[in-house]
Amino acid sequence: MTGHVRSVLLVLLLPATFHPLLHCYLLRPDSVVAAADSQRVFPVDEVVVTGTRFETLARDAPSPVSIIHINSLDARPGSLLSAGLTGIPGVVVKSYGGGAAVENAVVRGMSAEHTLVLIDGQRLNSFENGTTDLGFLSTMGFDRMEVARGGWSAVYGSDAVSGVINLITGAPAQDVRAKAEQTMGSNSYSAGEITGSWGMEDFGVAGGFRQERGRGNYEYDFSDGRLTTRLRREGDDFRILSGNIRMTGEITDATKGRLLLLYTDADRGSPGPVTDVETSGRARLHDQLGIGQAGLSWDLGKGWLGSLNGSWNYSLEHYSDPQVLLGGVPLHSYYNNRAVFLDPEVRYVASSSVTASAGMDMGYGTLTSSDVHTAHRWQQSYFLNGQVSLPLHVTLVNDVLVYPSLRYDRFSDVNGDISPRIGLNVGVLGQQGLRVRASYGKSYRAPTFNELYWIAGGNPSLTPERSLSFDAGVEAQFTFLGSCSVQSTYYSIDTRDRIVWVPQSGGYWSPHNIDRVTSRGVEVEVRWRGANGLLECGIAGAWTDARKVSADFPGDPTYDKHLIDVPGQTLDADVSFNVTPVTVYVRHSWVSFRYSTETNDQFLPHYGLTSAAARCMLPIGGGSVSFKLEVTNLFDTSYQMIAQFPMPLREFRATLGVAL
Amino acid sequence: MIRPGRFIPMSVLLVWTGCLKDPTNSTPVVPVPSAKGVYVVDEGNFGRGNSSLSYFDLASFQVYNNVFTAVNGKSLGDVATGMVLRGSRGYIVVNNSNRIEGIDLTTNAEVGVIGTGDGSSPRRIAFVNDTIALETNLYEGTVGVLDLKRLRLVSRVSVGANPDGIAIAADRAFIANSGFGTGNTVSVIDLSPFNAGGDVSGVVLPPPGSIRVGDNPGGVRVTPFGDVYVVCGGSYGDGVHPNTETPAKIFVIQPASLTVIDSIFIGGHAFDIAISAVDGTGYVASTDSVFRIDTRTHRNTGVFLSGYYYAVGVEEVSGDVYLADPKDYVQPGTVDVYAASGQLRTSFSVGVIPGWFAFKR
Repeated sequence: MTGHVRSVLLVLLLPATFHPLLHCYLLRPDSVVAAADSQRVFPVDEVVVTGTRFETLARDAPSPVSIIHINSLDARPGSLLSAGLTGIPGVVVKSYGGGAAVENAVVRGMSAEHTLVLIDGQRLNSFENGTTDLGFLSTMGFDRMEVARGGWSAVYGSDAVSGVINLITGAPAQDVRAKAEQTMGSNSYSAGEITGSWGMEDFGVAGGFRQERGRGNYEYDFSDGRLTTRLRREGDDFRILSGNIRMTGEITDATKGRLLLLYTDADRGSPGPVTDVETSGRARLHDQLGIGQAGLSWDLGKGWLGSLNGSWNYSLEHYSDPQVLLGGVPLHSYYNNRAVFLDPEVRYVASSSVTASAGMDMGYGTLTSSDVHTAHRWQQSYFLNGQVSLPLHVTLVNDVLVYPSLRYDRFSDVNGDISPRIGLNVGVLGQQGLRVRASYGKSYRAPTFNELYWIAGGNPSLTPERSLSFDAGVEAQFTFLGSCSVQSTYYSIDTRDRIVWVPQSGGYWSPHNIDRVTSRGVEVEVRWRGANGLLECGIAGAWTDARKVSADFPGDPTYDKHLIDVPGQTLDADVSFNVTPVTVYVRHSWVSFRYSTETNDQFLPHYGLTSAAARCMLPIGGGSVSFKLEVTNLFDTSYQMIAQFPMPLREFRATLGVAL
Repeated sequence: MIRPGRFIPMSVLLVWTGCLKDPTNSTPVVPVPSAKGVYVVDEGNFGRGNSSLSYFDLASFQVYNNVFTAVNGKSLGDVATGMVLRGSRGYIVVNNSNRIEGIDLTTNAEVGVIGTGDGSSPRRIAFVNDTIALETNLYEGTVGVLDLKRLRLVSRVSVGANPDGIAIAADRAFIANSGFGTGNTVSVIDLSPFNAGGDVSGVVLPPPGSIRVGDNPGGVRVTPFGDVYVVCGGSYGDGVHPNTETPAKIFVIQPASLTVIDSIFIGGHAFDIAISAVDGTGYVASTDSVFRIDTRTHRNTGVFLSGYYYAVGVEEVSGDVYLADPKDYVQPGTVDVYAASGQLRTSFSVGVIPGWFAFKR
């Protein structure tokens, strides 16, 4: 029996052990009674769009899709999108410090450039570096996040190697609403946010403005291996301004339109690694991000639906360091990205059991930079997706959902790829509450402009990284003193031609397609909600084994070593008490050690982090007043996510909000 | 009957008891004091704080890695780029930690730390005499004056952009202004004010002069014949036009007259030179070869060895050539030791990115 098969069987059995029906079949002679019991209460299923490009139930998806409702974050610590990613098994947010430091989401042991971030299904990752910095993106204007783990290039193209994060904006309310919030916190943190929404039957508009600033002079512990000294971070102040406008409308009975304008300006200190007691970097990052999206959708009748979505992405990044003089001039680099995409798509719902969609992604991106040759990229992509439901009603299996996907991407400057994927979701044991799923597909990552055209050492001969992704798992939903759900998934990602920067003779560094990397692991999540919604708790864990499995030369000591910064194990437990009008939320996250060198001879130790928030919301007139108190790193844990980038010790924040 | 509720606490218990434990750090070996040996300064990776100090004992031929941490129980810092020895003390330049570590050469124990200031980026160091040293500050564009008695920085002198190598000859300091590849000058500081004696902190050095050399000057060394060799690595160009790239050359300066008396063609790009005290042969590590230079006649006498090496050193007594192979700049590097005849004597593994040699004798 291969390792894959053993792992899959274990994963399938774990949630199944929770499921009452399996116990019925395996342990109880009277299975009929148990089957009836299990149908009394059933958790409400949620609809997702990520992974299929059309609506489907989350439990029916071929790979696990987590949904984070942004309003649920109101009762949690943190205001950035990255706060919502905490606790999703297999997802790690890598942060380069506190304040508004650069943050990247990493899924299933891969790198930030292997996770595709979307806004309303439209690509946010730039062609420049293939990543999205979540460190300055707030939750304002978004309704929910959908995090689809697995390889999804067959649906979304390049970069969707280990997962997709889809940020979905909220539709304007059908009446008049307004909300204002002010937050004050440790280290001179302050944030103010005003949002509003107005709607009538056929038209709605919503928008918001947010200002966030802080000195970022948080306390941390520095250790040189002998002495530990409590220090304050310097040069990490930040100021973030952001605003958005969203409009939706029914143009005719069969035609709907939407518009999104989003702009963020973030000026942040970026003091760099702390290597000594007296380290004090003065580098700064200044990012301007502008996004415009417009979309039309038509009900063409007889099951046919059409849509046309366009997006325009603009980003201007400046990095400056007055301490670094190059030829007597302070270092100042800039990267100006502009991209447009147009996605026509047609969907056909043949029946309740067959849905198919076909479309194109056409795009153009360009980069002008002080450090990278001016670059242009045209993209033409064609995709087919489908969902076929096969009602079997045979012993142990009641229905099978099949998800075939195929996509072809063509680029003007690098090779494209054909990405097929097949997904299955099977209802078993004759009940809706237990489903088994699996997927297998090919994904890829196209080389970025930085890798291809960096003036000092880019490599225009690069080809895309290619991956094979497989996952299999089971999800059980049942009642036990409330509603309970259990998921577990085994996954494997095998990446070839991985792009790695290697030194060349003469001191040049240049990227090459040389590495092969595998990442395998198990994700488990258990959630329970009971006492009529008064109490909710969950535990999520992930075990990850991500290794380099190729040797660059005979005797390569990095061969078969773990990838750096990837924790082998993460565990996250949260509990919330909801006694109107008060909600109390407590979370504890445990992250195992991470190797910090490719030869695995140095590591960052494990850490546990506890955060809590309490919110009181009182209805006043037609609106409400809310007060939230939050504390992060309650027990003053000294820790680093990335070597030499210390994270803050305990911090407090208080928020007063008024909603009409 | 088994109910699912019993599995929940069981699974939680299973999850927590199954937590991965941190690996155990291997303890580096404290070297046995020896009279003769070679210190290898391992730069480590930028921002990772994994610089280290290796020691090759020339009596026992034993290699000790991570010596500084083994003795002092703390990390050396981030990006160590140079080391000089004088009397019973050694001074290690820790570039991205902005400090100079002083150690006792018998025990390797730390004797003090000299901070060079935020953002200074110290690069190389050279002795003026037993109590004064000068260090170049790459980002700051200055040369710092170090009082080795009190272990402190006492003053700074502005030089050209991004100073790299430094050497002392004829009562003058010669500093290569690399300009991170765009520079082409050597700053010269008159050190005669130090000869008056007294407290070093009261000495005011005159503004430096400047000598035009080749593109991208880096390493600076003094030959046994008294000349100053400046290794000009050559410009990497603008990455667009091939004709903007220039080859490596060595410029020869006569320190007394402050004139460039010769230049030696190397080709490709080169970084530093080490000169044998035995016969005056210089060894230059360039893009893909190590060249041999006759420092008496200022002639490139051909390839000593093919291959790329990051640093080169020559042991004064034996004339053996030490070459640092950084591998892929990620894994521990190796040091290859060659006799002047070209015969490989030994090879040993050291820390990440071995970049400098200092010989204790």
